[in-house]
Amino acid sequence: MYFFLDTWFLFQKYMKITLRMPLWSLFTLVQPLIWLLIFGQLFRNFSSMPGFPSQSYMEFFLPGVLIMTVLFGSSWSGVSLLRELNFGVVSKMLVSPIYRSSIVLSRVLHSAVTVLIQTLIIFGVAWVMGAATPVSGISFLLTLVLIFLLAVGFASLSNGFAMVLQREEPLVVIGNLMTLPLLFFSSALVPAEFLPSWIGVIASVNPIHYAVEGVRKVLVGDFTLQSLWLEHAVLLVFAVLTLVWATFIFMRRKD
Amino acid sequence: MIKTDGLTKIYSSGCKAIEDLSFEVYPGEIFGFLGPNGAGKSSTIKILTTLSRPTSGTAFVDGHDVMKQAGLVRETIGYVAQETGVDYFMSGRENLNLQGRLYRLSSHLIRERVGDLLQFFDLQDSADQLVSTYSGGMRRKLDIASALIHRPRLLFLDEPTLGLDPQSRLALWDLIRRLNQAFKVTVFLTTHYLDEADTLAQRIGIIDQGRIRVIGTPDSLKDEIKGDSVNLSFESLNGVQKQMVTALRTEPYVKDLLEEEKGVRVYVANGGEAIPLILKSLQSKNLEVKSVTMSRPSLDDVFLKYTGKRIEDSADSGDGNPWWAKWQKGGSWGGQKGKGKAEEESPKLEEWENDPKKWNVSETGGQKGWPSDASSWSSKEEGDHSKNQETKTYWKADEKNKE
Repeated sequence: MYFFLDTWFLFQKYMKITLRMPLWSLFTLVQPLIWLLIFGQLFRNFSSMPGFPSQSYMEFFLPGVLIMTVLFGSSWSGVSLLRELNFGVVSKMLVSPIYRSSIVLSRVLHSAVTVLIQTLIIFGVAWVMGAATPVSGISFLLTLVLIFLLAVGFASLSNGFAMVLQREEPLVVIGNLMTLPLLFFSSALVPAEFLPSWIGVIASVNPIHYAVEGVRKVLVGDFTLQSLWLEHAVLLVFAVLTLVWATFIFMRRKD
Repeated sequence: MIKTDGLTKIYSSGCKAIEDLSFEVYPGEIFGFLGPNGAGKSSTIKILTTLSRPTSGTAFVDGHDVMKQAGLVRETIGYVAQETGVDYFMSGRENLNLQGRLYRLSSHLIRERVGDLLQFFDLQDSADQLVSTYSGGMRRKLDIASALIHRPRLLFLDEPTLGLDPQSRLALWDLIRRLNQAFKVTVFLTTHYLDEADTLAQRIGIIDQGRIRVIGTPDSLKDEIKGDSVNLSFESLNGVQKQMVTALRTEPYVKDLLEEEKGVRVYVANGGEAIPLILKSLQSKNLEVKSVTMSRPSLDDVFLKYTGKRIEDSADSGDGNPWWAKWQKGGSWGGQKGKGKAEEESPKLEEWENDPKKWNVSETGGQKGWPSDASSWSSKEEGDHSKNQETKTYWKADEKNKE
């Protein structure tokens, strides 16, 4: 019971702080938006290639941009953990009787919820631009679940690496390494059928690939609930494992 | 209130932060932990506040073992870290509210106590402004206020006046004194300011390079250096001359002698009478004295006596790891494995539920809404030891450590 309350109050705090600086959250949207607009134009003619699975590249690319928003939004969660560590905020929490694990969980949840809101904004922009097809309630929900799980995973990784590295600079490097290359090793930019086989192998163990594929299936409307279980299962496992790892790292942190 | 025995902390980098600390803090007193930067003050506080585990030795806070009963210790203590642990993007009131939540107080109780604290710390006017607009002194006050939300009986203040301007410093001293006197909060304070320890603390422990050199009341410590200190400085001294100067030690009127970089301090019963004798003795050896000053012993002399150096000269002994340590060859990448144990989980629910007084005491009345019965803050009073003038020296520098 107290575990949930502790998590809830800390989550509230982080949300409050984020909402007080809405510009900061909007800044992280700039890059995905630029990608959506420029890449959408740059690769427009790809859709006329034989075998391309979609009518317009923009429509094909939208899931990739949504996932990118998730990555850019959640991979910096650890930076603010380091700031809180340096400012003594974490020690202050640690001398109080709260559950240690709720500190990590509240941070990760905050990051995931923030990212969820960001992807909704991107989706809205895409919809206005005509790139998004209207989706039914259930499929929309399935998309949000995928996005949420992926965000939990990457926010956990970021928090975990923050504890391991203890420094912002290497954490930013790791954050960059985690997001962009992994995005290339997925079907975010190029259809899965077009991927070279060695990239295909990497993609098959890349949670980002599953998220992109899942979101794409849902948005294209070409899915049955049975065909989506793999994506959801992979991301659920990914989210749980990384969250447990981050919590573990945090609890046995060095003093 | 605090009792430690043989407390030792060695960081995984191999750096020995504190070594064999044994001391006691009595209920109701302000205990000053005085030492230069890197002496091990913060390491000690971190162990006592359950933030860090000792490598060996034991520590009890209010009768609870800091390692085995971390949950109970956390309920007893308030902790104000060196860094201000308040959130800059929340208002003062929100910071206090959250703190109350983290201590699982009821919302009714939180409202009441937050009001009281804002009043006591004179922060009402800026209570609803973001902390980022606060001055350093206000932040510090808010930080202390939030450490008091659960009415701890023991308050840890780690270098509370570090980085404050002189005025805020004086105001904070006054506040700490009021907290201690009116509400019987035991205060464990670390500082590297001699005057701070001298004015605030009823007893002082001097720590240097991880070891406690002496413990006592400021007066009794100063009394140990009775009489005056005569400070001689020289233009330059070679080895032989230095030996001749330190030979003053054998003169009958000299009680003690300390070497400094460019001179010596001679402790004598009566400075006025001793100075001519000293000068005569030095002159007979053809030694040219550059200047002579005389002073009443201060804590600085006490510090000098027990550590062999002035507090401002004491070098940082490198407490903790540099951030890049782990990037070095053979850093803690591998060494980290399996070293730390998972932090203990927070106290079980029953501990809270079975003890309603822990989080549901609602006293009213009294000045400024604080409990009229001040003893409710320290229910386990064991007599006021703070007036105990007896000097307790648990550890004195021996020859080996004087170097």
